[in-house]
Amino acid sequence: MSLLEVNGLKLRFYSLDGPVEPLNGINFQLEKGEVLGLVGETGCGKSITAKSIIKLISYSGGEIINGSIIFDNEDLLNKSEKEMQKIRGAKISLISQDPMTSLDPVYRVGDQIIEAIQVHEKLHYKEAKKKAVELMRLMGIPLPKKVFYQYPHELSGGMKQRIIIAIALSCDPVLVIADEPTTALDVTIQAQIIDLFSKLIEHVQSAFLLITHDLGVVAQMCDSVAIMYAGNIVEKGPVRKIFHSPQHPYTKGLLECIPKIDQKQKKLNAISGTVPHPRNFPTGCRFCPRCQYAMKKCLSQQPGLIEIGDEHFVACFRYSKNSNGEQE
Amino acid sequence: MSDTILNVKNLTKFFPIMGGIIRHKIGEVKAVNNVSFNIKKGDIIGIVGESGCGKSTVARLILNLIKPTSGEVIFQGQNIFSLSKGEMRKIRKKIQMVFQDPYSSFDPRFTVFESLSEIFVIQKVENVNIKEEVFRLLKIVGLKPEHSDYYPYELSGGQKQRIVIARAIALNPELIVLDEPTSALDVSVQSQILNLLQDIQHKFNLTYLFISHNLSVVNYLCNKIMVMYLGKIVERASCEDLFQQSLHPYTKALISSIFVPDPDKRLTIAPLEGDVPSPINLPSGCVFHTRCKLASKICREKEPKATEITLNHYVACHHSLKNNKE
Repeated sequence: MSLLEVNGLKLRFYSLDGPVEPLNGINFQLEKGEVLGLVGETGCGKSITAKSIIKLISYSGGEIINGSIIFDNEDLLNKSEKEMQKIRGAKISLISQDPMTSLDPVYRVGDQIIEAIQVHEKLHYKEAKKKAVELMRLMGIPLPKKVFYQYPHELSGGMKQRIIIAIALSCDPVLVIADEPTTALDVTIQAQIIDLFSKLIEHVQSAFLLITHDLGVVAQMCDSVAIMYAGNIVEKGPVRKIFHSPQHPYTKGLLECIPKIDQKQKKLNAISGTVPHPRNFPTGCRFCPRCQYAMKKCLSQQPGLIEIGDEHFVACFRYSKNSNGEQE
Repeated sequence: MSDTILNVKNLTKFFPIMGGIIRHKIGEVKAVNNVSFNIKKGDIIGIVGESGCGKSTVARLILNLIKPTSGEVIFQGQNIFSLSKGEMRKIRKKIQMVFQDPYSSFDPRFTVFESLSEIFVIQKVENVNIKEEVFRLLKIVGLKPEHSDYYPYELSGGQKQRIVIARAIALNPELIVLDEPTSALDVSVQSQILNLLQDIQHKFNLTYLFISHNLSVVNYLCNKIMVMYLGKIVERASCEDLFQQSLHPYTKALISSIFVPDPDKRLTIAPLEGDVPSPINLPSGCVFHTRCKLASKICREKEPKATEITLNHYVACHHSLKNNKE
């Protein structure tokens, strides 16, 4: 039994120009202790997927209209807000993108870690403080006892992100969702934080759902990858399969358009066109207007995920065996 | 030299920090500290560094958008800081700039046509059919004449950046300063813009000063690279030299903290420790010594000078010098 199972998730946002459905029934599973990377460009729906899992999407104006989110054998969509509050932070925690705005500027960072601990565990301040300092040490924060009494504005971006990771891990969650945890950081600081994550993954038992647009970070950390495009998962599988033998034209294009560091290229293989807006998603395969292999069928029908190898799934008609394919 | 188009000499910019009751100067942010380099015709020079290292300040100084504390920028034999406003406006034709954020580079109430035609009016370019010229520019950057009637909000980020580039090349400039032109864009769009920049450079024999924090992008586009750290250039070399035999420990750290999109090439080297020190209180001696594994007594006391180790490969590090001499 998987730790997390997202089945047929569909969302709806209401706007002045009518409703928008940015997710097209996405499915994925996450096992205990697994590190899954959810990759895609801006607007492909990766962050709202994360927010839906902990049911925070209604605060962004969205509504889950279809699907189920099975976590630990229970459907989170049937839970009340009160029950969800017991799960958030304790069993599932979220690390958000921007360390600059995720902390409360008027509280000492140590107290913010303690707050997270005391919400879920009955601990006295002294015990909680001991735990918080221990956590900060685990996060590689120098002089944790001193930093405990500092305010967020006194810390650098990398230090703040370490505090946020400490808060996220304070109650030993079984699932950590990290939404672009290093995007706002400088390269050398990003390397520090990714290094910290890699050590934590070995140290703690949690499963990680890493949401990012950076394929380099995914290659560094993840066990498996799901590539998203315009509200669909177009390819998923073990990390080596995806990076060494990508099958979907979008995945191939994405890997080819990153400049290589170890060789001088004459020309980059760019994917032409841009990501469509959720309001004008093409009917049929959503990648078809940018795809060099587009066939007649791609214009009218949507491909489903087909298993083409061990745990390797692709949503593309080029791999369906007959005209009906093996669609879901 | 005749083919040198821009000469930067000992450029320094300290921003004052005002404070106290009577708002007097209580300190200085040492953004750019004694930077010198040359740009030759046809060069694509990359400036790489982390945020706060002064790379954008260098760009703004070269365009004379801010005045330096000391130093000179010599363009076509003239020090641009000694020019009058009118003379500077003539020079601006020759040096253009592309900013990081295409979303805020336009007046939201102007159509694309108005934004592009404005240049010819401001610079008083005569004998030009503005309409034809705008369509020609749009074609060069891969857009259609229809796009000239669009407002900025109707365009995607990539399309906007194409128009910013069209605006930069409109008056046949000698030098274009590009300040992180692709970092606000998605990877698939970034590759389109990089290819476009490369095509235009070949076609019009342009010179670029390309500022970025992304080493892979710089490696793809540029032929020379300068690495900046805390307002100083720590290493300057051709692209091949820098990536194959980098000498400064900071450059080495930067190159080794790039995550290659290949799961079989995971990083094994421990990342650089600590944060960039504050540019208000610079460390004594070598500015990098607080994070450097090689740091010794001399690094804390004496500032290393940029030395040419091999041809056109300059490094400011006490240790690289020693290693090479032995």
